[in-house]
Amino acid sequence: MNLPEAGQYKFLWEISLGEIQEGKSVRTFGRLISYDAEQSEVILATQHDSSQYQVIVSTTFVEPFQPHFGTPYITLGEIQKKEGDQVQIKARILTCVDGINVSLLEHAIKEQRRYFQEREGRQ
Amino acid sequence: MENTNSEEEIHSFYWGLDPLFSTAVKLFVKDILELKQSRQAPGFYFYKTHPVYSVDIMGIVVQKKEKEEFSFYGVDDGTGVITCLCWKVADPAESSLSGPVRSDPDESRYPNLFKKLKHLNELDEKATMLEIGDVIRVRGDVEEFRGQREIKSSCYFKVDDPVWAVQISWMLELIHLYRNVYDQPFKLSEHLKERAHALKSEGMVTFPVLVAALADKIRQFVLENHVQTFSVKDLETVKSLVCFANRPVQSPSPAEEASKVVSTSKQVRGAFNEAIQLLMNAGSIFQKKSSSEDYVVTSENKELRTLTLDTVREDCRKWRHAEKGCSFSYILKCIQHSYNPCVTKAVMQQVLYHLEDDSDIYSTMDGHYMAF
Repeated sequence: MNLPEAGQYKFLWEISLGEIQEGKSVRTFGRLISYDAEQSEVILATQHDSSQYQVIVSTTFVEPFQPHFGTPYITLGEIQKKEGDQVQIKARILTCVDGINVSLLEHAIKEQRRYFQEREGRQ
Repeated sequence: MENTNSEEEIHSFYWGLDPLFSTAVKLFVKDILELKQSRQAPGFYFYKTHPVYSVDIMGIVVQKKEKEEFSFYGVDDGTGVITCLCWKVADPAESSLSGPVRSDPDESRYPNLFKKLKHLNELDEKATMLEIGDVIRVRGDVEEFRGQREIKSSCYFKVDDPVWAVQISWMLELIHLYRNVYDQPFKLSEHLKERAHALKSEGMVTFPVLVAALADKIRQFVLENHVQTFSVKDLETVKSLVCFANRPVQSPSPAEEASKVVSTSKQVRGAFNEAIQLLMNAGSIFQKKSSSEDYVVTSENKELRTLTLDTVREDCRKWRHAEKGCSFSYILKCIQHSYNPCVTKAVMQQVLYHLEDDSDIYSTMDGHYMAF
């Protein structure tokens, strides 16, 4: 079986700021604020350090799609660059996670990163 | 430090002493893909110093391939992706449990039971039918198939995780386990290390290891052949034991080797004497008389056994012992007085242990016994 690359947890602001290489698989989360059915695109947004970050997510692979506005979603897909250097995620998976404890997830991701960094540092 | 640790693979004889070995180890997929193969046995792997063969993972299904009897799921936990081979649940209509449902005359007698059984089957089916995007938990053995590592599941199911709570707690739990268990080295205690070393260096052992192994051999030999009494000279006529005692011995330090050239016959005699001392300390044997070179095998001695049982029985009849039972020191004194002063505490313990094991006596409290 040809397996895809692992979708590592990335924060929405890291993707929005263009810190992630094109083609990389990622999983991230944010609130769904708009859906363009014609373009098959949603926008996920999140607050971080008092600024708002947004990323476009292409939904062509996950149609038909029923958007719930204002609720958090988790997506897993590949980073693509649109014209004008705009970043978008080509979603393979897009799941509504209404009720998720976002701060706990952020904590767990940071803990996991810290653990791997420490372990690699030790070796 | 870490590298030298991982190079030194612990002998497979001792893997079972690592509690992780007998569990399905919860690991990040990335680490399963990077597990080191054991040099000693195929199908076994190492995470740092811990031997691992069975793992437990949770992640999102990102790929799926159906076969008639099983499905392949590509599972992504955010650190890596691995293929999991998952056997399908047998079709409920064909399975032996619910197969006869339609024709079974019992169905009319126990309608509720059959309804529940059907419901359980449905749940089972639901839990094992997964689509891309579902969260899955898989437990199974790590295998290598066409150069790719995969998990051959022994158990898998869909995880109902609408608010991601199960996965978040899984991540946090694993970090805790890695820090507190997996990354702590699995160490053998010093005396085991010496034995493990002996196992590795093929036949070359140190003298104390040889003696301990010889004592085991002698114990085995006398039990198998129902030997009741023996002397060291008797043992020296048993070829297999002598050969064993004659194995090449490694001296603990090279300096000693130079100063002490031990002749083989001396080594054999020395090994036998020390092994006998070990067996005496353990209570497996005792001297026939205080200065005698003949030894009695505790577990084969019917006389001692009967005498002990009689002593306990007799003593329990006395009213002052009727409630508490007979004390260990009293039994020992009686036996030493009436039977043989060479019977030691350890021997007595062995006899009482066997009697208790056969339900001839029972202990009422610490060090007190009653007879049936």
